[in-house]
This record gives sequence, structure tokens and C-alpha cells, in this order.
Amino acid sequence: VSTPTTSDLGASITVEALEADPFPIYARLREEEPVCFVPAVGLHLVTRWDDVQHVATHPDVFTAEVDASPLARTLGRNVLTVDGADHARMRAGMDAPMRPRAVEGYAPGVIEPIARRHLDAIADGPGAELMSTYCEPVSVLALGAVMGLGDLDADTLRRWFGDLATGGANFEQDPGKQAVADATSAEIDARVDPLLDQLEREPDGSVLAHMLAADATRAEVRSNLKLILLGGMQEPGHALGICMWALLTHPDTLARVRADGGLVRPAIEEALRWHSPVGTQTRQVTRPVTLSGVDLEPGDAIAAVLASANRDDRHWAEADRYDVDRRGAHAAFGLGAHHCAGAPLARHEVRLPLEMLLDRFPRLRLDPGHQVELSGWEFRAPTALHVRWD
Amino acid sequence: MEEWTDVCADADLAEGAMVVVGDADDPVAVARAGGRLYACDDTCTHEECPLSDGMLTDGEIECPCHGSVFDLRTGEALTGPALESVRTYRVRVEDGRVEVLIDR
Repeated sequence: VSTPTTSDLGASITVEALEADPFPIYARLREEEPVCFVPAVGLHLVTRWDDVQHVATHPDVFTAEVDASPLARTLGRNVLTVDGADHARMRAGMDAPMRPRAVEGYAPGVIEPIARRHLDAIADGPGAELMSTYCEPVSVLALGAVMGLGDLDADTLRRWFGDLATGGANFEQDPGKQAVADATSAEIDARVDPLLDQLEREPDGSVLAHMLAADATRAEVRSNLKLILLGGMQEPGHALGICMWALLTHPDTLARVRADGGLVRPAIEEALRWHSPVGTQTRQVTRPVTLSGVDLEPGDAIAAVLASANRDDRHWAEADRYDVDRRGAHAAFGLGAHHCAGAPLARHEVRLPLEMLLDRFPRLRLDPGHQVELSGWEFRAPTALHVRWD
Repeated sequence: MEEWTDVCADADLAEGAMVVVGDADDPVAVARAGGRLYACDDTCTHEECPLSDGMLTDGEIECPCHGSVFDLRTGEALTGPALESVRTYRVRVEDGRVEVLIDR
């Protein structure tokens, strides 16, 4: 692997700055260096819509089989880090129970009781911090139930996805971060292996049972389960937090959504475009190729930055504006063959708890006593979302 | 001269139903949704699943495989993973028969 040329702009970008607020950095990159090697993360950041789409839809040139993938390092070889026949084989086991019609059938019955229980628990107070009392617990418990994970509690599941995410986003290869993720990964194996043994003997129709029945090794099922724990538990809760934050900071839009239930879906989709919770799709170059005038060599690691493509003014009018009337498909769930398998379920996990929250609290608003901070670039969300409804 | 393709009897296309016509390699879905007739490519632009197996709502069709949503009036991809539009076609009722103009 050649050592990529580093520009002053690329060298100036730190992980801390990306995590604090990546959007001004992406804006500058799109304008000045749309394909830019950033040594702090060891990746060429690809930031324009057309290039991101091109990378995501040309797996022959930009493969998901990345040598230095922190996701593969943390979770093991999984459906997001393979292409071609292996990808199709692993994906088949998880796609069937995630088809829109299948999800429509089971999702409300799983999600609504969990959301109602968590609303009941906070409703007596004047307000609450929504990420830890509602968005994240509802997300993890709903997915745990859909997967068939039994009686694991929300705090354990939240810790699991948090630790796996620490490893999955560890592009900087910090050994301390990796140790946290590895310990939790071993803990998950110890907890889940007996369950997998049982599901192998007695399939129960859960997603895990589907995955075991498909043509995959036990190691692959373990890795894909951890991918689902990470993506499926963390991200719908983060997405719900982002959607609530978007609406609460745009009171006119919130009033329109309250008056017209048909606007809930567009309000969610637009929030995911505007502040995409998952930052990138990571790829590795397989043969010499030129992208936006930059020569890339085999072995170069690429981050197709979904969150930036979704803000590209070349593709979107006034891309930085949250506009519920906007139309067009965004890239927040990824593009191409690796598009999120759980997207239909995730959309239910965001919409139903959001509708129930708005219905329950007609006076819902941000708590003026707390500043909302968002954090992360690979995985971005509000760190806390204090609201009041009294 | 415009060549309209016969679809079915008007009475046989119920509200919320779809019929597939045309070339087997590039079929067209004809749908009745919200009391209106629509026609668009049956093949999703993401991974080529048949849209006619998906769900119809008022003015939109959702792919059964990965949930891409297309506007039946314009063919525009409203929700990914599909990004490319599907083509749409004119539909009419003539002498009690539904007909589509596949003019590509």
C-alpha cells in the first residue's frame, strides 16, 4: 500500500473536531478537496453526493472487504465487510424477516407496549432526559424482542452497543478503545452461545433463528448478530433522538406535524438526511482509479461519507436547511447492496415512539435549562435531550 | 401512431390491485390506487425486485424487498435505497378495457 499524499487541509482534521461537529469540515472538503486523505482516521474521505453514490454502487472497484476495517476487527467478518456471493448468502438470512410487509405485521405489537411502558414511567414528572429514559431503551428492547434475545435488560443492551460502537468507529486504532470492545464482544458470545444452541435445536421464527437456518457458519452468525446489536440497537434510538431534536428546534414544523399525521414520515426522513446518524460506508480500492480528479491506488481505504452526501448543495437545494417539504431519496441508510437490512424495522422504531410521545405530551418542548449537544461523526446523536411537558 | 397495450377489463382491476403487462424482461405494473389508475416500470431500480409484489398507498408504491418508495405520478424515488426513478406511462379506459401506452 502506498502512503497517500496528505494535504494541509487533510492533516488539519482531527477526530475530536469531527466528533464535535463534522458538518463544517464536510462543507469545506466538498468545496476544496472532495476526495481527501485524512491521516487522523487513515481514510480518504469522499464527501460529494455523486462520488459517494459511485463508490457505494461499484463494489468491483470499491470493495467492502477492507483490510483495516475497525468493524471487522471488532465484530469479526460480517455482512457489512464482505461482497458478492458471501454477502448475498449472509444477507439472505436477515432479509426475509426484515421485508416491509413482514415488519408491518409484527413491529407495532412489539414496539408499542415497550414505548408505552417507558412513557408511563416518565409521565408523572415535569419533563425528562429522553435519550436515556426513552429513545435508547425503547430501541434496544424492541430489537432484543424482534431478535429473540430473551430477557436481557435495557442497561446491559445499551452498554453492549456502546462498547461495540467504540470499537466499530476506532479508525484511529486506539488500543484502550479496542480493549473495551473486545471484552464486551467476549461477554456477548458467552451470553448468546447457549441461546444459539437452543435456537439451532428448536427454531422459533425469530430473526436469529432465520440467520442460523441460512447458510452461515456459527462465527458468521455471531459476527452478524453483533453487527445487528450495534446498528439495530444504537441507531434507531439515535435516529429517534435526532428526529425529536429536529422537530423541537423547528417549532413551526412540529406544529404542522402535530396537525397533519401524514407529515410524520417526511419529517423523519428529512431529519435523517439533515443529520444522518451513521456517517460513512467504508470501502477499499481494488484497482487504480481516479475519483474527482484524485488518483487512488489499490489498498487505499475510503470513507464514502453519507452524512456529507446528504448535505451536498450540488444534489440538494439549500442542503443545510431542515425542510419537511423536501422530496427525494437520501443516503442515510447507505446506498447500493449494503443498504441497511433493518431499515423497514428502524423506520417503525422511530415513527411509532415519536407519534406516541407527541400524542402523550401536547406541550412537549426543549428544556431551556439545558443545551442540546450532539456528538460523533461515524455514529452521531444528541448526548442528551432534556425536554419538558408541564 | 400510438400503440396502446390491453391490460384487463376495467371492472377486474380493483382498488389497491396491480396487474403486470408487457415484455417479460421489462414489465410494466398497472395499478389502481385512491381511485386513480397508474402505470410504471415493475422493476425496482435498486435490485430489480417486482414492485407489483409491494404495497400500494395513495399515489405511492413501496418495493417489497427493501422498502424503496416511488411516486406513481412521476416515478420519482422518494425513499431509498433506490435512487433512480422508474418510468411512468399513460393509462386510459376505452370501451370498458384498461389500456397502457408503453412508449419507451
